[in-house]
Order: sequence, then structure tokens, then C-alpha cells
Amino acid sequence: MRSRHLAAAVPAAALMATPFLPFLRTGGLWLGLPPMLVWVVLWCLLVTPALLFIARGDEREEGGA
Amino acid sequence: MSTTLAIALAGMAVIALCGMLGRRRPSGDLADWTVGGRNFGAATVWFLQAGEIFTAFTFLGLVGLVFTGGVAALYVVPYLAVGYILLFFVGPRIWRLGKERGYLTQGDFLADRYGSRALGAVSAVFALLFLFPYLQLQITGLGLVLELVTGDAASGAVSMAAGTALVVVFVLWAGVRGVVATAYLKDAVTLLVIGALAVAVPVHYAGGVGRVFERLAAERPELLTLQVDGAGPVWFFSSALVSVLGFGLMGLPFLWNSVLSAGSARALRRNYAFLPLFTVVVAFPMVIGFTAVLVLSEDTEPNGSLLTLVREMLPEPLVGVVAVAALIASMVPAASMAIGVSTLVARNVVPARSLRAQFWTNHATVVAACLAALLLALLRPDLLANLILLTYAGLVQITPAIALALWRRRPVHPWVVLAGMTAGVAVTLALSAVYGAAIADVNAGLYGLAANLAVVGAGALVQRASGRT
Repeated sequence: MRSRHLAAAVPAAALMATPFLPFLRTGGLWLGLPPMLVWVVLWCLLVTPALLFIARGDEREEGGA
Repeated sequence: MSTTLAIALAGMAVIALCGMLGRRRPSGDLADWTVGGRNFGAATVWFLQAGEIFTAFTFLGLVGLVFTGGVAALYVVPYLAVGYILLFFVGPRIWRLGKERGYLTQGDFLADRYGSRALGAVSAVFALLFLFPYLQLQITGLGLVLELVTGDAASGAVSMAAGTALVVVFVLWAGVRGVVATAYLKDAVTLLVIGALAVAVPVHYAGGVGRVFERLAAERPELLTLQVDGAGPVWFFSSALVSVLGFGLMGLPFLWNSVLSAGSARALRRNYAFLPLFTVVVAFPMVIGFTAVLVLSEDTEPNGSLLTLVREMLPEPLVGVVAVAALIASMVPAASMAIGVSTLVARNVVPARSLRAQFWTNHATVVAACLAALLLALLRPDLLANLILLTYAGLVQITPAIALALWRRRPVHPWVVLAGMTAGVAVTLALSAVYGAAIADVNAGLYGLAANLAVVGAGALVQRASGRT
């Protein structure tokens, strides 16, 4: 386990916290869409760069070992 | 025969043909039939894994879930995305162990890591108990699609029988390579159709996506704020958590085929990094579900919402194309599940000694399982309804044993994890029989998991105190 692996914990925590975040449940719309929909799609898109960052670091480390 | 039915039946035949063309050479080897010789490239595995998330549930059930519970249905997006994060770490580890030790199934992994064939067999029986209803769900989906688009119950029965027969034929003929060949077609067709419908349905019925949500915010705000009874924040979180663990820790037996068939651990990790992007597609059926809320009466069958909207909006030939997309979203996962069920039986439940005997046991099980699922879908479609709700809740009970065995070989005595697994399954089944799939909005599987972990924890402490392994 390396510290860079924590990069995956940020989107995971944001996604799992979704139902308890009060600012997503106001009844208004963000960009014409439900805030909860915008929130989960946004964090879902951020999972990929976080995992690629980890994969790159791991592969560099394995290559150097 | 109506145009819609003719197009749908022709579509099913094309899907099966595509699956049969996936076969490379006559194979009498169960390993080649199940995991394709463990040499699939990154793109092939990507299509196989991406296809696993687009089932009859995604196509029909998710629209129905939005129709009844609003944004609570969004729990599917976090569960898939966070599940892929777990799989990013877990998948390559399982792939390496599988290649080294020759695993074909989840039961093989548990039996080997704990040194107990009994554990492999019992875990396989539990997996079959909760996976079989999921297979039946796909076959029921085949019938529901045609029944809704043609308005004729007989067409539904024809569709179920034809679809099941075709799945059996191409699965027996081509194994996992057949599933891969159909997965390319399935992902292309379902993406195209669901993407087009996510734009066309709101435009046709409400004047656009923006207008749908403006009206919902004004007329039905409770659907956008998790305020529907039985679909609140706790239900959202507990459903997502059970599904994340069941999915991300490889509790679903049919996930093992795609992981073990990969050509390298690196290809798997890259795929899991990119698959969350594909998960966003799940938002498309949700937009259709929100449109259905505005247009359809409250007594509409929720799972039929999408096809009801489509039937009233499109000409018959295009309804047929949508039906084909929904059918392929049932047939391909049904094929994966048939492979998952048959390999568990052949490798872990029936004590077939020779590889040849395993191969024929496997093939007989494909036929028997699909036939049984078809008969139940035709004769007693509601019989397994409660078990379907419990697929993830039940399969998550296998995940503590998997997670511990990833860490090291025989981390605790096999009887300890077996006792935990049994306690978890018993608590989940007992609670759901009395109270339903959720108790106080918390998924029944989490109560079972708590019992499971308590038994494993206590057993590990006793084992440590007595100094036995």
C-alpha cells in the first residue's frame, strides 16, 4: 500500500457519501439537471484519472525494481 | 406475425449466429471453453466486462426503479464506479493466483486458498442459490420485452423459448468466446439504442431533457431529493454498499470468467481504470425513467415503462429494433450466467474426477439450468421474485472468505469462514422472509454480513487462543 493509492479513496468517499450531502437535496437544479445526477457523474469521471495515476506510479515502481 | 415480432426473432437469430461464430476450434477442454485459454487481449476483456453491467435490469429495471423511487435509482452509479475501484486492486491479484494455480471458478479459488474442497463446494451451492434467480430474470426479461411491444402474451412465451434455446446452442458451441463475440454486438447496439432513446423520448414527450427536470422540480420534487418512502438516503447507501462489496470483491460468480480470461494483469488494471467512464451510460435510462414519471399513469408496470413509451412513440419496425436491443441485453448476460452456473457445478459441486467427465457435466448443466430457468419463467414467474431481490444480499456473504484469502493462504481455518458464510446466508434469508429485502431501509444483506463477520471474528479469536490453524 502506497500513499498514492489514497487517490482512489477520494472519489470513492465522495460517491458513497452522495445520499447524505444536504446540498444535493435542495430540490433545485444544477445546469438544468438534478444535483445528485451531476455529482455522481462528475465523480465517476474523476475515478479514471485517479486510477491511471495509481497504475502509472505502480508500473514505474515495478519497472524500477 | 407482426413486424415487431419478426424483427425481434430475426435479431435473436443474428445474436446466436454471432455467438456461434466466436468458436475458434473444437474444444474438449473446459479451461478453454470457460476462460478462453487465459489470453484475451485488453479490448476483448473490456467488451466482456463492459457488457456485464448492461443487463435486462439496466435496460428495463433501472427505468422502472426511477419511475417508482426517483433519484434513489442513482445508487447504481456509485456502486459500479466504487466497485471498479475495488476490482482495480482485487482483479489483478485474483488473475495472478488463477494463472498460477489453474482456477476456473470462485469455488476453485476458495477450495485452494483454504485447502478445503468442502468450502469450495458449499460456497458454490450458496452462489448457485443466489445466481440462479438472476439467470431466470434474464429469461423472464426475454418474454417481457416481446409481450410489451406486441401486447401479446403468446409472443412473450415464444420469445422466452426461442431465446433460451439459442443461448444454450451458442454457449455449448462456443463457450466464453461466444459470449465475447456477442458482447461486441451487444455493447454497440445497446449503446446506440439507449443513447438515441435518452434524447428522443424526452424530446417527444416533454420538449427536451431540460424541460423534463424543470417540470419534475415543480410537480414532483420528492423524486429529486430522496424523499420517497422506502427509497431514502439509508436505502440508497445500504443498497450501494451491499452491491459495491458483492461486485468489487468478486462475489458474483460470473465475473470470474472475464477476469481469469484476461491475457495479463496489466490489461485488467487498465480496463478497470477506464470502465467507470462507461458507467456514465447508466444515466441514460434514468432520463427515460424521469420522462415516464411525467407521462405514464401511476399504475403502469414499472419495468415496462421504457417499452410502453417506445411503443406509443415509434413505428413498428423501430420498436422491433428497440426490442432487439433489450433482448440482446438479456441474452448475453444469460449466456455468461449459464457459464457461471455450469462451471461451479462441474468443478465444485459434482465430484467429477476426470477432465472429460467435468466437461460433459458442465455441458449437461448448461442445458439443465437453462431449461429449469425457462420452465420456472413460463410456469411460475413470481416464484423466485424474493430471491432475485436477494441476489447481491446473498452473494455478498461469500466476500469475507474471498477478501481474507486474497491476503494470504489459509488466513483462518476453513470451518471458520464456512460457519460465517452459513450464518450470513441464514440471517439474510430469515430476515428477508419475515421483513422483505430491506429492514428499516437497510438492505437485508448487511445484517447477514454483520452476523457473518461476527462469527468469523469470534472463530479467528478462538483459533488464535487455541494456537491451531
